[in-house]
Amino acid sequence: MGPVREGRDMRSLRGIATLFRDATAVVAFVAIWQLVTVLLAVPVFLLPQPVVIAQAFATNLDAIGLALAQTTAEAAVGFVGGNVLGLVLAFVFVRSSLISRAGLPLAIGLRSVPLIALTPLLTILFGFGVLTIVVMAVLISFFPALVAGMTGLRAPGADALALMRVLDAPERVVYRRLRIPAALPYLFAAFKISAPASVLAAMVAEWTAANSGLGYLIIDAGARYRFPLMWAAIVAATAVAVVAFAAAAAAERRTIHWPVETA
Amino acid sequence: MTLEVHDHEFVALVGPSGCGKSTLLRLVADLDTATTGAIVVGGRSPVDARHERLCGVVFQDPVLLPWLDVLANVRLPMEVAGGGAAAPADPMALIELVGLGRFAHARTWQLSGGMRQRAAIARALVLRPQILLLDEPFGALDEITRQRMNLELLRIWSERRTAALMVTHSIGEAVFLADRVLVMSPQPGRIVAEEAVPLPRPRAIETFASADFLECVSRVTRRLLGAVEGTPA
Amino acid sequence: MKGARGWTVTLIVLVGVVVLWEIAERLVAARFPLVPAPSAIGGAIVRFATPIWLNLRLTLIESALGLVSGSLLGLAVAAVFVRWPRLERSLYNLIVTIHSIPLVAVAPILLIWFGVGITAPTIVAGLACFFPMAVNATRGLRAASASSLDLMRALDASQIQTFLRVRGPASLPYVMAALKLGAPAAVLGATVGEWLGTAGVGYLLFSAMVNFQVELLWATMVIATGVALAGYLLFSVAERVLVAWGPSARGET
Repeated sequence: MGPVREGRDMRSLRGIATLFRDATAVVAFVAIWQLVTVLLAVPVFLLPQPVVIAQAFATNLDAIGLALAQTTAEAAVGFVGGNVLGLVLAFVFVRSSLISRAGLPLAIGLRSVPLIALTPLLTILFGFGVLTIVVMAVLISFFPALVAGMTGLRAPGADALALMRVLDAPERVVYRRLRIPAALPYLFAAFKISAPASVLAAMVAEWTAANSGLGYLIIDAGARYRFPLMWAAIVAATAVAVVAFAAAAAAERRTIHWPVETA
Repeated sequence: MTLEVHDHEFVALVGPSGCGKSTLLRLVADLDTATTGAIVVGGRSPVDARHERLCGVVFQDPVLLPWLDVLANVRLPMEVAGGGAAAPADPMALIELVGLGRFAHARTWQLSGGMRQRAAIARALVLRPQILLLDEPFGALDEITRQRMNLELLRIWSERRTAALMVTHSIGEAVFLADRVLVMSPQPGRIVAEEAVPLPRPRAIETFASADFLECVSRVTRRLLGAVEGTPA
Repeated sequence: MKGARGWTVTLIVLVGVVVLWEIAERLVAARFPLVPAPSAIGGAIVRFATPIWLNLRLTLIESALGLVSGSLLGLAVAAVFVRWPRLERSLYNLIVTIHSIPLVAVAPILLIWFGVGITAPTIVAGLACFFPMAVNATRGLRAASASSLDLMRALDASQIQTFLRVRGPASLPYVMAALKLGAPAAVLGATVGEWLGTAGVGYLLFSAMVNFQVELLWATMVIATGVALAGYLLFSVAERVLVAWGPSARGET
């Protein structure tokens, strides 16, 4: 067991090194930004100084915090809902080969529908309020989950399925031991897309269907010429999206402990 | 065509690619269904034999599940069978037998090709099958590993005393391992010759050098060349 | 052609859905004014053909400019990454972070910077297709097999010859996959970029919503979706023609 533990230590060491390098990059980026805005006297409406943005963040902590919490909650509900819906449907589709033949191209096609652009329509359909926002986040998570579920559950090769047949494995076992584990890498790839995308979707819907939340805060602050606040909200929104992606990626690393050949 | 494998017998099936030797194996394992003819495994139809897990199968690709460790892969048939398995073998003892004792909890993708195939053999044996079906099990391995695996397979087989039916395109391998070698012809796929292997057991590395071995190899080679006569290589 | 059969079934399903929708609408007789019948949407497309076309033209220009510039930038970044792998290690996370900045958050900033016009939507469209191209092209430029590169070395081929004969063709499936993703993404980006503007499909959607012109909203949406899908299909076909030697690469979605 020696070599395995050594590998893990090496990995965490490398993780710390990466973290350090990223932190350095961020600090350098912010420092250059500060320097340029001060030296060139960039007007605040074009690009506020990081210090000014930080001040705006501090003075509006309550407002930003509230908006952040609301957007995160909406995105989370939508993410979970969309994934549950997509995976259940994927399961049904895979069990019926006819539906799956028609369903997969349809799902892939619908995935390239510009969902975000449909927000005005959804706002008319579901009204001004949380429902529209959550529906938007559900939709944005739904299609990646459906496509990943269908592709992943059908990923096991002929040999692996032959093995299960030789073992006379019931369908339940084939799913638990073979199809579902094989689908996991596809699922996590979808999570990495849809977790930040559901944050994005919630924010877009807040433009048209809410007067609260981060998306609304950005637009509202811009319209009132409160540019530092707008930038503070943008930074917060980006942070949420990045954290959502990182959380999905971390969950993937913890779960998928075997090498994966898929994309 | 007729083919019979007796208890504790090792039969090898050689033939050119596309002669249907793998199909024959898949029919026995009930992975494909025959349109005509009868296959009887341990007195039962292939379907019933599969339900009673009378066959252990080793494919060319070891198909180990990468999310399970070696022990869990070997235990998989027991798990699938649930309580239905009549007196399974001790999986740990099998892992020892195939020489993977130190790697029971290793990740399968960290193993070499030969080690993976050892694990696949252990998995095929864990429900004490009456017959071991081997479909080019060492076809993807390099020559040296292949030679070692053949010796290992003989050792494991003689210890477990199951019947074995192996498909291979290596004549030397077939002669070295088997009690009988069956030669198949392409299109139509049928068994055109049968050669008994007069080599004594236990066989070892020296067997390769014996005159009987070389004689038998050349006999099978002649039969095989006769079988493919007229078809371009 | 297994795919062709799949698409046929898909088409039949789509037509079936539209027909059922129409029948349902006739049965309830306009009890749901928010969901017009397909025939009503079709009528609206004809009726509003002129405003839709004028706005669509603008969106198409922005999307095309965005797709070209974003993809070229993505290709350039990929080329730099492949040439200097150390840079990739330092900059990859930065690029992922930039990709994570919600487009919606970028749009207002760009509007402030560039004012109302085609610049802001074009940049949003470009950003939307930059990332898939950068990731896929990086992978694609590394996709050439070691043996084929060895072969070119043995033939004493120049860098350019190696690129034209081996690296370029090997990366083509990946580049095409990125374009398939990028084309609808560009339309989406341009549309979102237009929301706060004064023209384009995005503006039309937004104003139709604000003015509660339900049929115009549906009509515009159908057209926008059609355009995005057409972009996807265009590059799917191009992929099939250009990458005749193998299955399509799985793209970073």
